Amino acid sequence: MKISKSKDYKKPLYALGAAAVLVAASLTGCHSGVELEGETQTADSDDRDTSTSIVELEGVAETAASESIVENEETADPTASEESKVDCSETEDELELEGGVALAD
Amino acid sequence: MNLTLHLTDNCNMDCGYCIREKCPKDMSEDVLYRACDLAFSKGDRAGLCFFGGEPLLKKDLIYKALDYCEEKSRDTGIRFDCKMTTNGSLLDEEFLKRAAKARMKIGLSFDGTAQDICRVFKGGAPTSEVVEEKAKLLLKYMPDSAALATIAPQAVPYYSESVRYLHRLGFKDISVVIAYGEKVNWTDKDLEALRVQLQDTCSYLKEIFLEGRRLHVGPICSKIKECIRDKNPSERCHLGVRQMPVDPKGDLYPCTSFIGDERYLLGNVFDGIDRERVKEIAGRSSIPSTCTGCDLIKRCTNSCGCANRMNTGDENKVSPLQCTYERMLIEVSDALGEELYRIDPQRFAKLFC
Repeated sequence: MKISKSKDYKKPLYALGAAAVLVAASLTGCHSGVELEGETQTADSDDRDTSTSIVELEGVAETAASESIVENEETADPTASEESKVDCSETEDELELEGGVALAD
Repeated sequence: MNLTLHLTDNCNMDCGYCIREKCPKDMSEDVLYRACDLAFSKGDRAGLCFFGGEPLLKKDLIYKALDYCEEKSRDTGIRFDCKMTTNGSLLDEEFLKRAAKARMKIGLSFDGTAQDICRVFKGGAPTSEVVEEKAKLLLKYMPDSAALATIAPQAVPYYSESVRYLHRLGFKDISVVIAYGEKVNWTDKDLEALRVQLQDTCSYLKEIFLEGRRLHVGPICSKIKECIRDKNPSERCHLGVRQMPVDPKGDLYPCTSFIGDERYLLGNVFDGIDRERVKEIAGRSSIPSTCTGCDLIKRCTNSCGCANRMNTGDENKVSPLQCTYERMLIEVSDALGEELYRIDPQRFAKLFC
């Protein structure tokens, strides 16, 4: 076990391809290109496409909100960074389930 | 705003990796109602996550909180969300009916086939049989419930098998975290074994993908989703910014692992939040200096103050364990992502976007 900096990392192809789908969905405001909401539910009870489509749209907005914090962290002015951070009474984040990593929704 | 309510410090289990000090300290009704008021005090959402100790030892408080908050929600128009993390041993139909009515999302702490290695009742009796039955009951009422597994070094050989077992039981949302803190001792050999287990879990996820079914395994699928969305996984932390824990006395802290440390006290439910203190502590969180210049800086949990504090004693100092685990996880998850994307880009986008 050691702390080691990774170098020459490139964003994976899957992320680039799938991100394009996300951008298209956010620009059009619908799921063109990928039939999320309209997909026929199969008899298989494991398939949760309809509910997931709603979650995914929320996820896009959440990402945008999160990004602003990332950028603030990187700003050269630490005071600006501090001021821009808000406490939980001022955010509209999803309630987190304690004790786990990010779950499907 | 979102709060995590530590309804009690007591627990009926004695898990080997648990870092919480158990004591018979329960939240009073006064604190409970003040906490509910605080959750509704700002914003257009009020969220409560019932936590402990074991929250179901205080079912009465949960019922009272649900009644109170649902009424407040009706009166104010503020949306109310609730969740609970429980060891499951005290779940019953009456509670599940009430929880379902409140649309509560329940996370069941269940280590799968490794359950009896670390998760035992007080006195040492195994818990797996009881919790398996309760898991079935939970899924009957709430089929979308999540399983939350914690992997200690001695449970690593059961990682992949546990994911399969939990999925067979009916969980489609499984979070697996590795145990941190002074009660566990990870070695290089454990991490090598963990890599094999992660890869085997990816093989299972591929099987599920090819069958056209859906399964979310916390760390692996989350890494893929976060990469697509350019989302930094440690942002959910930010010490008190996202969600504030309330201890049984009503004191507020930035994260559950900081409870009891007066240096991180952010106020209490009676006097309110010390907003300057929140800003000061959130502002203190920074990317560990050892991570500067690392290409994976935005893909790993290097700035999770909770994990860092448990491993190094300093919220801004990452541990060799965390760094090694995160690099491994990203590598394994990306390999799975590439493979699934090549197989069927459309289906991949549907699942992960």
